[in-house]
Amino acid sequence: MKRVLTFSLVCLLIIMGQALALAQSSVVTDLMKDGNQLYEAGQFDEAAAVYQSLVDAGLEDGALFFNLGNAYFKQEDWGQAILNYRRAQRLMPRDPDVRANLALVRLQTIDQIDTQGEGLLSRLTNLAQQWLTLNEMAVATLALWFVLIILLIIFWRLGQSSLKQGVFYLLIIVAILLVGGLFSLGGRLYVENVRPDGVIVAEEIEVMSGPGSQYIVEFSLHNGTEVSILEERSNWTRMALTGGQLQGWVPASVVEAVVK
Amino acid sequence: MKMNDFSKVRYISLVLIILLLLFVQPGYAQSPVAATVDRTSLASNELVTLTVTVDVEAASPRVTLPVMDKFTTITSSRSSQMSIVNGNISTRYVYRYLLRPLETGQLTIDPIEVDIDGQIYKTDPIAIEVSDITASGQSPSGPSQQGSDDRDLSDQSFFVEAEVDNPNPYLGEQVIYTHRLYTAFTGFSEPNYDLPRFTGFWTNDEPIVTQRHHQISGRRFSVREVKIVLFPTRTGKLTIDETVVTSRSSLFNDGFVLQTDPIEIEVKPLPDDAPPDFEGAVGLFTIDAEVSKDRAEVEKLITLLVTLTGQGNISTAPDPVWPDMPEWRVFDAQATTLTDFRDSHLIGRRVYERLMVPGSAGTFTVPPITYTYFDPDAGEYRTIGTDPIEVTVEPGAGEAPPPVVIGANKEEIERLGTDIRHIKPVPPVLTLAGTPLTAQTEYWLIWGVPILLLVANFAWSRRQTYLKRNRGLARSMRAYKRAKKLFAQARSSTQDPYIAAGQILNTYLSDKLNQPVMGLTQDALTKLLKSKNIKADLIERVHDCLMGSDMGRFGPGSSAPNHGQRLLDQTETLVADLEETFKS
Repeated sequence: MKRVLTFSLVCLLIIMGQALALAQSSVVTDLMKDGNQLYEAGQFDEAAAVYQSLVDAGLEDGALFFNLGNAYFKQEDWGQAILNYRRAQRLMPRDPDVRANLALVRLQTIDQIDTQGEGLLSRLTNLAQQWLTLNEMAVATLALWFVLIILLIIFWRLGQSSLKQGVFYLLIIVAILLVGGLFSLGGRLYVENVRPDGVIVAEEIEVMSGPGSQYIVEFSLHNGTEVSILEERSNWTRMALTGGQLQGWVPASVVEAVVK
Repeated sequence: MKMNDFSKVRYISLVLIILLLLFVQPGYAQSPVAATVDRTSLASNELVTLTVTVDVEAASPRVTLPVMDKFTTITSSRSSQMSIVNGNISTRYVYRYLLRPLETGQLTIDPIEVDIDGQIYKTDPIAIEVSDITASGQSPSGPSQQGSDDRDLSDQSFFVEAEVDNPNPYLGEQVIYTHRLYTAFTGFSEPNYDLPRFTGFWTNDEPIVTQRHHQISGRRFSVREVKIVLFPTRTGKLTIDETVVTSRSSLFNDGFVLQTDPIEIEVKPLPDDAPPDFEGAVGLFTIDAEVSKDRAEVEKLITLLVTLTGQGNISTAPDPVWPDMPEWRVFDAQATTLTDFRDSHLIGRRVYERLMVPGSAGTFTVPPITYTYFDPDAGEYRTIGTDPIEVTVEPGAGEAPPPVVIGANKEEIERLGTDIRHIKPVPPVLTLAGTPLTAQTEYWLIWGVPILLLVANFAWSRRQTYLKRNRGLARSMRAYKRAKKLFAQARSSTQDPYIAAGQILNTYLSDKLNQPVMGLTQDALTKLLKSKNIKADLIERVHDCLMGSDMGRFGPGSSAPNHGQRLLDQTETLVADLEETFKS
């Protein structure tokens, strides 16, 4: 009897938890519906405020970031638009709408970025980012690793079988894919954790040679320029442009990281 | 009559004095510089005109006003008149200053220095009595509104003056620059105006010119007044340069060159609290909108007329904020602008014609069209808007669908505009940001599983290889597994349990000891088992099972089936115990 009661209580708690989660879920989806209605009524700043409140509450969804990017685009805030489209792209890399809008908003920015200095690893990482989310890449790489080992075991155990050559070629292909996947995954982890991507969200900012306004102004950047964040120190952020030739310090408030 | 001696002396002295006065010049020559005022007593709210006249034969003189801390200069002007007498050219320069007293009492205008070709001349000081403002509050002197004033211009036939109506305007606020040429008599050739460049101002292209008459000190002057409307385009101090008026000499007069003094204007910036849609319009405006018809048809054109009217620089005023009207295709026609100068203000009207084509039927509202401007009189920003206009769009008249033409020429799709793709619908569930797989320890632990598989496979292969090389050992290791399999088969089949028990035990012992045991005598088997350190009780049980098997097979009269099954069970237990013993 005691066991039955305990079991029933546990089930009830689970159901209540699910119901609470569902109730909370319907509150936030209703909020996002409000945001969509405001957007469609042309009230882009109000729509952006609603979407932003959901993002600030910790919610993460590709459609939410995409809509927020649209709301900022309509207000011609290129920096925030690019930032949120990039966040949407992390979660929906194959979505053609995200790609199209990101390409369009990048045309609006002022600063021309030279990508020739970009390394192979960086290019590979960027290419992977356009097709797979981080989790998908992690699973794919792990799966390739499993497949490689299994093929290796099979190859080992086949002896003199005629299938051995076929398994060998398959092994080579999987090995190459795995190496590429590892580099890409490693590059992506490096970028997200050591050199996260950021976007300039101020209209124009002067980049200093040191973390303070008393240093020399080296160059200036405008709203929407995409940078790599190298270091943060006492409310100043050291950032670099693609290729790393140009780097400097800006106030931390003017650059936001794509991955929070 | 004969002159006496005394009379002679007086006569001669008088002649000498006259000759002296006529021929001895220096030390008492007439000064070329004179300063006069039009009144010597006035109220503190009245103005006095100081006129400095300089007659020279050479280059223009330099007049230095003394420090007049008891007066403030309202305006100043300069005029000149050239004359040729007996071949000698002389020029009279007249400097006129309109002064307002700052104190009451006996005030003095100190001597004014004039430099003529390096020679300094000074005028006499001028005393002026300034009393308090009278009870009747007389208006200050100056050019009379009724066309007359009392300035002392007895020695001037023409002069110019220039003024602005607003010396401290806001950025973009109207300022009227007025220039007046006063001439006491006609006969002058048409004067040529060299107007200032008005740097820092936007000006209308058509100055407003008026002609009238004005009495000054009993003399009738013809006044030609030129007004130019200015709108300052930058803040801070701006200077309007002098206007130069030139009249060529003619048969009747010698002509003249007159110029005004520069005028300084301080332009104030607009307040900082401008609304976000303020585009720079300054003045006073109204806006109206109307449609050509309030009932339209799908794909049929209607016209939206928006009229912006008001005071201010309509020609450069920014356009209104056009609202989004997604139900319509809107085309802008050119706006037309009309301006006029009335009641000292530049007024105007700009009409925007917007062609609209509805894409679908229904009732639509043209939203209010707003316009934000800065009212300089009130000193604040204002936003005005039109009323919303409702338009009913009816479906177009039914028409027969066009015939399908097979093989018609296709047209390349022309992109008319580019916009971002629309927002996405709300997903079924919105979740909090989760931890990525790569940040979880379990994910990285799973990477070790294939390694374990590889190691396990390697170990297994090694074992298999070892067993292949040691068949006896392999056989011994497989003995128990084989025996268990045989027991399972014996139970599931109809095989005689006595036969099965005996065979399985023999097979197990053969596999385990790596030699055949069937056919061995009891003693030989006992000896063999003892050599493998099998205990005596187990050896006895082996013999009992084998004997039981033989008895069941060959003994007189078959026993009940369960007896055979019990023997089989006992044999299985025996095999398990033997296995334990062999392992230990």
